[in-house]
Amino acid sequence: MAFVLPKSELRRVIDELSKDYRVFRPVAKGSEFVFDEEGEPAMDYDTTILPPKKAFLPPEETMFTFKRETFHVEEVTDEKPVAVVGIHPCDLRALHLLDKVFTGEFVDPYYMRRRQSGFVVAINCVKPCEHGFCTSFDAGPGAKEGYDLLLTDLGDKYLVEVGSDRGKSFVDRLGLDSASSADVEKAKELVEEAARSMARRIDTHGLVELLRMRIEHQHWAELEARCLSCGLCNVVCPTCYCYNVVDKLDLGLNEGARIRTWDSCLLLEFAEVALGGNFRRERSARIRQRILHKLLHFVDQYGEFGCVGCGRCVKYCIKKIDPVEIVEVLRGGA
Amino acid sequence: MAKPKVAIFKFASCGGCQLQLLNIEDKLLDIIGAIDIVYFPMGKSENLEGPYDVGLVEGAITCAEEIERIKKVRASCRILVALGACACYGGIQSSRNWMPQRELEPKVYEHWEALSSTKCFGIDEYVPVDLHLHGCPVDREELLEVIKGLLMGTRAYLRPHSVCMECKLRENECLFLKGIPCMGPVARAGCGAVCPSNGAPCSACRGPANDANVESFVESLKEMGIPDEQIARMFRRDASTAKPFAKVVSMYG
Amino acid sequence: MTENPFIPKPAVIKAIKQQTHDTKTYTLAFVNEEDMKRFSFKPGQFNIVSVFGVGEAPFSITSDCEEREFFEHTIRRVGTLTGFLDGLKVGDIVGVRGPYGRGWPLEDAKGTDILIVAGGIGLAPLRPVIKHIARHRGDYGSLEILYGARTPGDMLFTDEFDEWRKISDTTLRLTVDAVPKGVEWPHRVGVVTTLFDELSTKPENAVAFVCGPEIMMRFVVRGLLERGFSKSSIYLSMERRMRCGLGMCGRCQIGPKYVCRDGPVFTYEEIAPLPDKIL
Repeated sequence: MAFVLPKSELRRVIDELSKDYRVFRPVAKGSEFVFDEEGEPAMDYDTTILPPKKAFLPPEETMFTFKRETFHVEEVTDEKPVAVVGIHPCDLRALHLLDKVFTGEFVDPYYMRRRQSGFVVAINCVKPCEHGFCTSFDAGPGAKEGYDLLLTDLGDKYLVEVGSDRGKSFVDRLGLDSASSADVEKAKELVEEAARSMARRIDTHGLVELLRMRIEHQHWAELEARCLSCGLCNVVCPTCYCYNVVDKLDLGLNEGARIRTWDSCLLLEFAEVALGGNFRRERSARIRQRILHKLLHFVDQYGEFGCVGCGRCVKYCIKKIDPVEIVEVLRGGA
Repeated sequence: MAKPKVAIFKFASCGGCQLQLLNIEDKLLDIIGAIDIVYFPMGKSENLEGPYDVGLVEGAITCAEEIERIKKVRASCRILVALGACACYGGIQSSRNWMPQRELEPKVYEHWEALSSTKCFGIDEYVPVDLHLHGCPVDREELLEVIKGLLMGTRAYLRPHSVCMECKLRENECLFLKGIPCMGPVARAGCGAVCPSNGAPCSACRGPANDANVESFVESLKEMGIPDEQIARMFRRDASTAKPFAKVVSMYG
Repeated sequence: MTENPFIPKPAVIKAIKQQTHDTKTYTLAFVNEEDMKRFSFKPGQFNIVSVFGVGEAPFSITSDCEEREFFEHTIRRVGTLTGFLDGLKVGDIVGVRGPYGRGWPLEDAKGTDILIVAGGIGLAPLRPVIKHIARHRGDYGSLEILYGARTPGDMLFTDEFDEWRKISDTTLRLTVDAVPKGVEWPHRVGVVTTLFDELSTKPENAVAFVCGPEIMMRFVVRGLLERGFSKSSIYLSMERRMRCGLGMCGRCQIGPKYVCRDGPVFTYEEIAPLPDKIL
């Protein structure tokens, strides 16, 4: 089931969604892009600084408020559900991976509520981004599932594919025209062409078995000298999910809030335990944790690779530490 | 519980950190409800003698008289807090440490013969410090967290990692990647990346992050084409008494 | 709306018992009877204890799991939260959520001999095991407990030792690293592996339950392997910092294992190939 949306009508999509949702969309910020709740959508963006997971798992959120004296607790819930317009296939797949973490054996009520009530308009990539390697993980450049609506830029208009009942009724509300089979075919070609021109790739063939044998490898020590342990790669990663929890009190010291914030396994304090112990005191152990968690441990935990190849970690890394390069070195090539 | 008696002392500094205390005026009334500021020459006219429960010290130690005074301050305070870059690392005036006094003094003073200034240090060069509150000036939110922690008998969470994480969370364009030498990757966070968020590179006024990889960072500065002299200047600015920074200054200065 | 697992339930401190100079056992009961009725745990599981405004952290449950009126935590004063807990009095309220994790395999261990090796505060999560075996004595073979601490004054549950010795077919062997002047100490001196030369448990039909500082467990594991215990018969209770207890916050991961959800009790076989440990 496919429709077409004239590009001039995109604004109407956002306005219509805004009636029921807080609508995150990519907007320009200097020479970069960010997902924001305001501003003109820049649908041909390459990537955003923070991934759109921030709509479902905010960098900082209040879990509940409390009163110390009475032990009164009040759960904090959102007023309005969230919609994300213009999410790339890699980031969409990242949400699927986060779903596994947060709605598996145990359920994170905050994340789950936002996902269940959320609306996702994805957009296929018709030109490869500079740092991405999404084809390695079948995470792009075309989206396969997990969207309510999926757009493909056909030049003067978008092809709109429907992925859910909610998406269908929204399309009905907009009153869009049906797409021709030529439109559908053109979109398919554009995505295939984008896939062919992707320059970067991690060879995942036998990767899990290989990495199991590379837990001890000199390359980790080489990265020790290079990495700044700034934690930036964790912050920009669409599949990083670790969080910290802190209590914040008001000045009366009675009322306060329990707040969680994104955390980073690259930081020295992340694996600290009582009495000053630290199980990842070396930067090499922390880089290894990040890389192996994505490419090995996540597979053991959830049955899929934990990387989607969005390329943000290398794009924003001052030292250009690159998972593609690391895997090549560990494979013994390049 | 009796209200904790708090004293605020000034050493060699601009007064900006004490100003931050006054700047939380909206909250200060609440604070005053919970604590008793009994000594604060910059903020009030009546000031009481010690002992005090908590001493907040602004400023660096730059002469023999100050060495003697900080030791007395330490003795009069149960908990001593170093307030700001000067008290933590010597601050901007510590950049003079890298020049001999005999060359430095005549540059500044006509009658330098009468001076008895020493190299400039943070207060913990001379006395034990219970808590360091970094920044030039200190961050108001952190200041409030520390005060609340002192009242609760807990330790406030002060971000020990580099500024980059806070900067990215604010979705700033990376100045470093745009070719502007920014100290963010090696500087201690807690400021909310206030300078880069306003387009100015971080100057590491909070000193080094807990795991600052200065060697790797300097390598990147050199690749960027930053001359040695400028590298030394960047690391000398506010916290060159901190070991990881001192190492760079002595290598490139 | 389903219940939010992150919201702790109020529990009142019913009693506090000083164990050592820095360690206390807190007897707690949920304020709401319903919460208390629903609460049941297995030996080796833990709760996350909260003090609003200070934070929360995991603590193993140290009481008898068949005791349904209250539960206990034995907590050493080492940081901010434990320092705050140390200042609390009987009648004060804390927040508790749990129980979490996979405990000691007492079902699978039926019919086998049981060796317990504990160091310092590491005896806390093993106390429910001892109490369980005492209650169901016929289900298990011999019980041997090796316990080491820094000094005699650092030993936990000393007033229960006589009771434990009275459990049939049970041996309790004690050692300390050092004996302060003027203290009488009729037992061994040295790290806990010193006791291995007295070890009577045969590895053929036995399991070892080990808990203590990771560096101590490292030497215990080596000693047990030398004495013929298999990797899969050695069980260890691991400690990592955690924020959620539900396998989400990511803090406690060792390789692919979440200590909170997959542990805290693991076999040495599971732990051995993993990175970032001292073991």
